[in-house]
Amino acid sequence: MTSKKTVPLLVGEVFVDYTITEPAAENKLRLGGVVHAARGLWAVGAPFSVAAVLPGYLEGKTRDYLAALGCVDFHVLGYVLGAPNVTAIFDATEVADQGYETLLRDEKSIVLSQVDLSNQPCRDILIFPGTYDLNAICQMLPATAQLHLDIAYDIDDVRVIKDCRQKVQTILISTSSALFRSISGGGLDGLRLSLGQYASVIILKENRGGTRMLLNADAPVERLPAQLGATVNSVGVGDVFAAVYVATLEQGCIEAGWRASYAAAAYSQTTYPDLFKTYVQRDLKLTVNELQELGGVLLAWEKRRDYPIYLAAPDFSYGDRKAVDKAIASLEYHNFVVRRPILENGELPRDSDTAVLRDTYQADCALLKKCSLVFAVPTARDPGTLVEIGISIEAGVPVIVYDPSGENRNTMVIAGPQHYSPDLDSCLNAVFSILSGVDQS
Amino acid sequence: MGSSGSGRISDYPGSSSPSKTGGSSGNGSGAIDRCTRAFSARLEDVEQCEYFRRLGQIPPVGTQLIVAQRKRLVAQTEGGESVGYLPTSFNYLAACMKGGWAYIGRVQRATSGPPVISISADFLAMGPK
Repeated sequence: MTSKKTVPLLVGEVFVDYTITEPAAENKLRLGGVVHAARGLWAVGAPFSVAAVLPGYLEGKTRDYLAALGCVDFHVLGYVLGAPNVTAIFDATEVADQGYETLLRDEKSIVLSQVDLSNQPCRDILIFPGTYDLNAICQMLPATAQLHLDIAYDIDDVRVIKDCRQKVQTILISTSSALFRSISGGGLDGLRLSLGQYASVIILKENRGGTRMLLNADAPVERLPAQLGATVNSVGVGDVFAAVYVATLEQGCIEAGWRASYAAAAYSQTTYPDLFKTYVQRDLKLTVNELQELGGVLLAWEKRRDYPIYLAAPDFSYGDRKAVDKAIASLEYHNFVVRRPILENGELPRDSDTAVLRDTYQADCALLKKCSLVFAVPTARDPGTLVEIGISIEAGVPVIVYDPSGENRNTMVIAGPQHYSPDLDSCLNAVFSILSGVDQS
Repeated sequence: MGSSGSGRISDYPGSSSPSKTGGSSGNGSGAIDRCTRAFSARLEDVEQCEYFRRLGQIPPVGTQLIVAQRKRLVAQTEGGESVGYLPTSFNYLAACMKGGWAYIGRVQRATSGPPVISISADFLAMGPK
């Protein structure tokens, strides 16, 4: 019989995640919130308990679902009123801001139950803060357990952490989080200053650029590379990371980090639970040393700004800008500096004379050659963009071509650049892969 | 996907049975086991690998290759000579190989450049016996 003392307790809200897909594809519906973390624990074969805040209509479904995942105990800490806790997701692959829309969020309130779990035998508690009073929840939980807090969302002021009565062992945060952007000062040093006083370990999840773990003041930063593959759905990936990290902590922080990183990658590549578990179980057969030697993509958040990206595109104030705007939003969301020659060197009137055209051409070429990578979006077969692709290839500047309409499917455009795809997720992965290689060389 | 449509929540463990085999790369919902998938790869760091360093040239089209793990994943000849590294996006193959899968392929395209040496290979998945 499993000792309940070794069973981690997951605390958080339960949501329904509704992913809006492209036309002709089925929309996706699944339990989200703390349930993502539960799937992670199930996949590594770790029993767990859950203490949840949720709308009443989800209580039975959640209880049944978690039981199927091996949940040992399920407690309701409180109920969501006034809102269904349904989140509409418009970008499942996080090429840019995922645009979560939680329905009726402004009408939502939480009523906490008078539950006393303070005598629950439990060593590790993983909390995903939500629209509930974190300290009130902590008062209900065992005082002697150690807390692991994933503060990516729903924490506005980190000072609330010091009021938790439990010892905070780990703080996990993501570069996707608004809190990170407000407290980090743009980098890891700022994060250490802001959070170091609250926890022994700080883990910064950097999306496609990997993860960094700050173990203590003297230890070197442990870097966990991202395993980039075709992203099917990245919602909940960070939660899976946190859960598997806590579940495997007995092997030590470093191994736990590596196991978590691989489980998170697997979660992004399928939404079939059984297949996800199969992937995770296979990965567990590799030693940590083998995982470390395989490598991956590492590109720290603040380092990305050292590698400016030249936007080769019809970035004009007129015309169809949809693909161009999508590309810019994506790159800037991931903290890249996008150099836009039309904005910087000027959008010329159509009847500009040759001398002006030549000056602008020279300025654009000079700017291109100062950049680390060219991201081309040749909408409407824009001739200037196609020429810039050629200039980049000849200059030895890596080129990625994002061609959503496929209208530039041509030998020179496909075979010359480092990467060509109609899919922005694929192009974004290529940006990270190429610049990771540059950064590590 | 494990859950489809919006009528109800349905992705319970054990309730869905995606195809466990598949040679195509069509995987919009992640339904096909990644270990079963055939794939094409442009090999990296060819000049640093044993074949090029020994012979000063790239292997001809049609050369048979096997994927192996030597720290990173590498494509090597039947004789065990490394030809080029697989991009790290294929790192999941290491776990597949640990589970008994093997990946056998051939050089499909090979150019000496300039500007760069480029080798592309196609691989098939051979399942555990």
